[in-house]
Amino acid sequence: LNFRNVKSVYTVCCIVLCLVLLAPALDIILPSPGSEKFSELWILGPGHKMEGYPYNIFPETDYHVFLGVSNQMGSLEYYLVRVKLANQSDSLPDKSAGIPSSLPTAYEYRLFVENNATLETDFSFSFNDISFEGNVGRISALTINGKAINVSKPVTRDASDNGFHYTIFFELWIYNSTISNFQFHDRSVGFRIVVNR
Amino acid sequence: MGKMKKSWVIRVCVVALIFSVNYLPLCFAVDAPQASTVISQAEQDLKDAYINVSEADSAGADVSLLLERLNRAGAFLSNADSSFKAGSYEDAVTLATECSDTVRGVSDEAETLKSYAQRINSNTIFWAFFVSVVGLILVIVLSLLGWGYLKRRYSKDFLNKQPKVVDV
Repeated sequence: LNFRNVKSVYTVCCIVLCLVLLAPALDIILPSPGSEKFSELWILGPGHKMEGYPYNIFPETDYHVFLGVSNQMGSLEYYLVRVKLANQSDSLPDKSAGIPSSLPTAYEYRLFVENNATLETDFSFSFNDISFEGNVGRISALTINGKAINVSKPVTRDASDNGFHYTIFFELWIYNSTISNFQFHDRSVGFRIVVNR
Repeated sequence: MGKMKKSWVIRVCVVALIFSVNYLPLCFAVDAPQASTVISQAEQDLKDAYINVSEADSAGADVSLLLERLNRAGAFLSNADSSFKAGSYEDAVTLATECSDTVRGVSDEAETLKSYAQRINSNTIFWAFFVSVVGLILVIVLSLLGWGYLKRRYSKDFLNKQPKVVDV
């Protein structure tokens, strides 16, 4: 090892040691690049799996699913999940355009989720007043999480399978403190049901 | 005569009691605008509490307990909304009041946690800089000293290896 090599090795070692010692201070001065910000919304069946979603619905019977929200927005967030009931002709949220459904909200959840955390909650429902007249069915009252809700939602019999189809779906809204209001967060999930006598 | 007077008094009291039972709730009945006002107030209370908790969270405070209270209050408010839509205004007012009660004091607690977290953060920053700067100075001084030592030793070794004239 000649003198010039010793000098290079020594200089490199000193620089590395300086950088190691400066790391805590540099970590404070230079903010780490932020990761992608997003939220997730999902529903799971009664067995906590992506299966067994209620499909054949009978009056006065309780059904149960799990609703989950995950926050990857980088800070604590205030979410509003709007539960809506749609028939075949109603408009569902337009995910590509980021437009929520114009249907009235049947029930809503207000959830506060920390960054990098998930929150799961129950969604139980039953239909209390279903009437049928020829090819038209109508739901007049339902119960969500023990709260009676008045709706008047007609549905026509589906020609393909003779069923009366509805969709229960959930829209995720997020609180924007700048405008002091909720904004549609472009996330929605739902499941189809067929109501029976 | 006294007995008759007494029985009349009892009758009047009974009638008054019946009237009060029937009509008192009407006096305190809640209508839609009143319920709406209470719900709006609860909504505002919840938003204010959220903003304070969010600031504490950003400062690095542990807000898990406050978060539980916010979620509980959120459930009360959701149910108040449902009751309002179903026309149960009294229920709506009760639930909205529960929401406001649940978040009462949350902002103050969040503020305390935020100050505490900020204090800890400034201590951490101070120590991080202190260790870095002192360490850096030490490394520079020691490396210069070390370099001087190495240089001297290398020169000495080099001189020792120089060819010498030896008498044969």
